[in-house]
Amino acid sequence: MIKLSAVIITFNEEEHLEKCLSSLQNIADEIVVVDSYSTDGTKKICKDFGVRFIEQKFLGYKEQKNFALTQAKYDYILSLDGDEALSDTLKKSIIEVKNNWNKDGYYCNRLNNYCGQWIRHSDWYPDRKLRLFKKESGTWKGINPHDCFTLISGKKSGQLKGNLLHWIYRDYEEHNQKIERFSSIAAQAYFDLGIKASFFKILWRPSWAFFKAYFLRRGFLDGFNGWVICIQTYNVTFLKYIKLRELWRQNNMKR
Amino acid sequence: MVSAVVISFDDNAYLEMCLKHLSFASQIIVIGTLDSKVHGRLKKELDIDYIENKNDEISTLFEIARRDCKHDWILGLEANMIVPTKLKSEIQSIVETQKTPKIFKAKTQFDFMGKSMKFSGFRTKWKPILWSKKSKNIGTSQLNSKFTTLYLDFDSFSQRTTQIAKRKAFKLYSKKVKPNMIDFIWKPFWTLKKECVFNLCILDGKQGFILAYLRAFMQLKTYLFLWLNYRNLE
Repeated sequence: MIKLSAVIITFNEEEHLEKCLSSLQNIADEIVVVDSYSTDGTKKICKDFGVRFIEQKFLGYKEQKNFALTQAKYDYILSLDGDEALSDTLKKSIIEVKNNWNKDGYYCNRLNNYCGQWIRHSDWYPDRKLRLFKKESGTWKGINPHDCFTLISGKKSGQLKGNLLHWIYRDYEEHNQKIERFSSIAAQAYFDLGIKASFFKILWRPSWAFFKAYFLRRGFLDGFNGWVICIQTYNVTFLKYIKLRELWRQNNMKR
Repeated sequence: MVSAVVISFDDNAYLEMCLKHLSFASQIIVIGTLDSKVHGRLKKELDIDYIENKNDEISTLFEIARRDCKHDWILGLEANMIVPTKLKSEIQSIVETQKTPKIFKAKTQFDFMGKSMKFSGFRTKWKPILWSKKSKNIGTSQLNSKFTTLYLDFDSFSQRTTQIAKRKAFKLYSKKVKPNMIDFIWKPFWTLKKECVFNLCILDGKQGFILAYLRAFMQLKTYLFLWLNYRNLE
């Protein structure tokens, strides 16, 4: 049986961290928490669970996760956020894989909880994530804030049964704040990559994002919250491209 | 002599810019809500009077501040409004020469995302900004100069629209209005159409459309916040 390190990055995660750490009992052989100097009870919870607690200034999502990887003792990694936990089916599935590891990485579906409701459609489900992998088989990549673990070309991946539970937003207010923040981060990332925001993109991309999430991926089946999520998908895409356009305008003004 | 009344709904970023252009006023009263640190600093630098009041009705706030005004002429602004030099001179000359009480309205100059908005509902939008203490229900006059509506950056603008949506939602909630599907689906689309076509946003080009969209989305947010107000009770 392989030995597994669970690595978690946190910042003010006291609300869900207990669920996260409890779900890792008897699954992970080591738990490492990399915290960005939380001001709530995160540190105390970690001490109570006896996990290895490392404080590190926030470097960016993927950078922080890559840093966390370097802190793990074992070669096999289960990477989580502080607001995620393993479902019972996923736990069983991970135990099976630990006994018979034959791939480089394993995907699982992430089930998101929005304002108390589990969202089973739209862009939010199955929301496949590669969270169980060999340390040297890849690296955290992606455009901030959408980080993802990417396997090196030629490496093989499998699929785990069960869901990774994710308490994404407690209320609409939190969702709204995240949208403002994430659209700014994404716009900056696009700007750094030299991506432009034409007026066509500003009009087309949000509309397509909404159509895809609400109709093609059946977001309407999640009721009112499904509709809110799809509208916010539209909004975040729209804001991202407008902010990107603003960045280019400011950049041109500086010249 | 003129007393300036500035309404702030935690508009910390805007307020400083607004107050810097009010050096000609003999008294400055800030009413509404304001971060305590910003208040301390502004009090030291500009000697302002601050009245904390959580009421979100602009006319009520002006009425409350009016009682504390020491001078006969009152210049009433929101924190995102700036008095440029031309308007300042016009106001000063009115205050010195105008003997009969009157209300003076001014048009706005708004630069959004680097473009001066010539239509977008602003073309015909007059706002009363100067009045005498005794000028209730007396005829109005128009000022020749415009005041400037501040645009700091997109984030600040977007945050301000969210705050306005929250205030509107709270007002509807206090009137016991319940949101329905028409409010969520039809009203934002109607607002977009109204802004683009009737308020002529479309004539301001791409920026005009973006502004119309933001106003339509503010409408949607208003009803989402309203829905949340009811949901939080459950």
